[in-house]
Amino acid sequence: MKVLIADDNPMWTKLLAKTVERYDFESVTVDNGRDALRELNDEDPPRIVFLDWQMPDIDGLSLCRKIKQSDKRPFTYVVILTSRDAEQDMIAGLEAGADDYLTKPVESVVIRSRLFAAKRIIEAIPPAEWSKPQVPGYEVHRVVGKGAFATVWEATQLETQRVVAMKLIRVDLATEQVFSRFAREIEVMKRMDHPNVAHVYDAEINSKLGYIAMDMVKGVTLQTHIRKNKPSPLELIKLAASVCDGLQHAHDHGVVHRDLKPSNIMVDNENQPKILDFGLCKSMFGATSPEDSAESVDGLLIGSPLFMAPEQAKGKNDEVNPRSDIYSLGVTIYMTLLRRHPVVVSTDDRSAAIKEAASGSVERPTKLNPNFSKTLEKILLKSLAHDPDDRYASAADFADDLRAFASNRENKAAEANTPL
Amino acid sequence: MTVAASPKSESIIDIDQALTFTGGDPEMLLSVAELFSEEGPLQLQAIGQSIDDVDAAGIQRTAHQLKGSVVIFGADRTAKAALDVEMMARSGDLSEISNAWMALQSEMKKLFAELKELPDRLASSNEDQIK
Repeated sequence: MKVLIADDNPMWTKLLAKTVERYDFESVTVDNGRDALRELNDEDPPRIVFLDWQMPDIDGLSLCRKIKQSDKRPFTYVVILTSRDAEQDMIAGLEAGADDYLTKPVESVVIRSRLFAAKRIIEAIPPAEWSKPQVPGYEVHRVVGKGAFATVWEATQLETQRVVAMKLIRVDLATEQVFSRFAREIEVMKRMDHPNVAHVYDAEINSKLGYIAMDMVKGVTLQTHIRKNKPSPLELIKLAASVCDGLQHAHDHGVVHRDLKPSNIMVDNENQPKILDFGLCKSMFGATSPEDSAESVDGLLIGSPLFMAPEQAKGKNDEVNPRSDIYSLGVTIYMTLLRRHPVVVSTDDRSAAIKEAASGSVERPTKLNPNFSKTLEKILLKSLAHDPDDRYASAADFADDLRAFASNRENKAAEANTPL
Repeated sequence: MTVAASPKSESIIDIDQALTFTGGDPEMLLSVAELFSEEGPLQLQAIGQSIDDVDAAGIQRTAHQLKGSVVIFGADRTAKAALDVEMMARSGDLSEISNAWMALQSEMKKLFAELKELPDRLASSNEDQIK
């Protein structure tokens, strides 16, 4: 379970993050209220939040009110953790809606007790729309994720006792056309079997229920993996090559993902990537609103449509093909290595930014970092070609070049520490 | 936060108390101390800059932050010195702040000196426990 720690004192940020991780929670740290709000607007937001009172941009109490007054947000357990220990401060904190008010310094065991209390409460009272479903053949346990049209639950398939991630579709939001496409794609997905693709064990769709039971990947999303484990550039490139393997397998089965982005790539405990939501979301729900599913890669705020290939972002759905996925993966790799989108976006307006991203030219990595490898630059630019015909013909070709680059670098032991 | 000067020891750092904030983990304490060796001077410098700028709000904010940092080490005397600076800034009367500022600098100097000895103190504390 993710825990957001918002504190402008790096000492406390570090201490709390280490404490939270010690008790097997995942920490997300920010040093100001604006970034805290951004994390809370993520498509899979933290449900436990520690807020310092005094922070730049938005103070802890104002942020607490925003969290508690939003009817769209799932229940979020808010702890105000501050040095302000006056009685009236505590009253103000609780009146702002905080579930708990702690004063610094706080002992590790107190943090632990609050974490587990919060976890119990969150798991006991999921929001109304997350009421635990009855699915024949399964015992459904708890919510593990939430999207606009679906929730993901941890469940046990009774016959096999296999623990699965069960994605349940909001059938009330689906049309006849959506149903038929979903059913067709389920058949394709069930045939897919690859270590870099989340395996679908079972799926069902009818007028009352629509679900997919797939691998319960023990790991974190790519964006969290980068933030938490700080893999080296070469590790990221090898990981991207494995994602290509998964993509190629899907493409061989006639499936295009159409929504490849860091939050749809899980990295398991063996550092192996697995692609999630293959082809389902985009095909089921068509164009996504640009306001949907904001996410971040190591601090960079960006909407998922910015991972789309130009032809896809322009709504030319008939032109979407496997090379569109290659572009999306190219954006992902570029952003993980260079910490920014490959296309220069001149505006803060979201809709305009997406249009610019779809039509603008890709910035050469060497322009951003003169030491960036020209070989890797060539690979990235090929994956990010505006014209699909200029991109890699297949994910396998993309993987070959990434692996050749990585292998070459590894072989040059003397150059192992040179920048990419 | 209630801060009172500790009468029980000449030490600035209260290791037992500090360890309660790190779940008894000396490595974590050392890691936080290492960060403070970088952040502490910056936080102190920020207070000095705010004093130079006669920026009461800035002094209050930065002294408050420093106080929050040093309590992690159970450094009550240092925290008290930071609190004095913070409260003077909060009152808006900076005419007497130079004494409080000098006292804080002096306490911080002692704290930094003790932090350098922290690895040895933790090691010997661990040895005592083993015995």
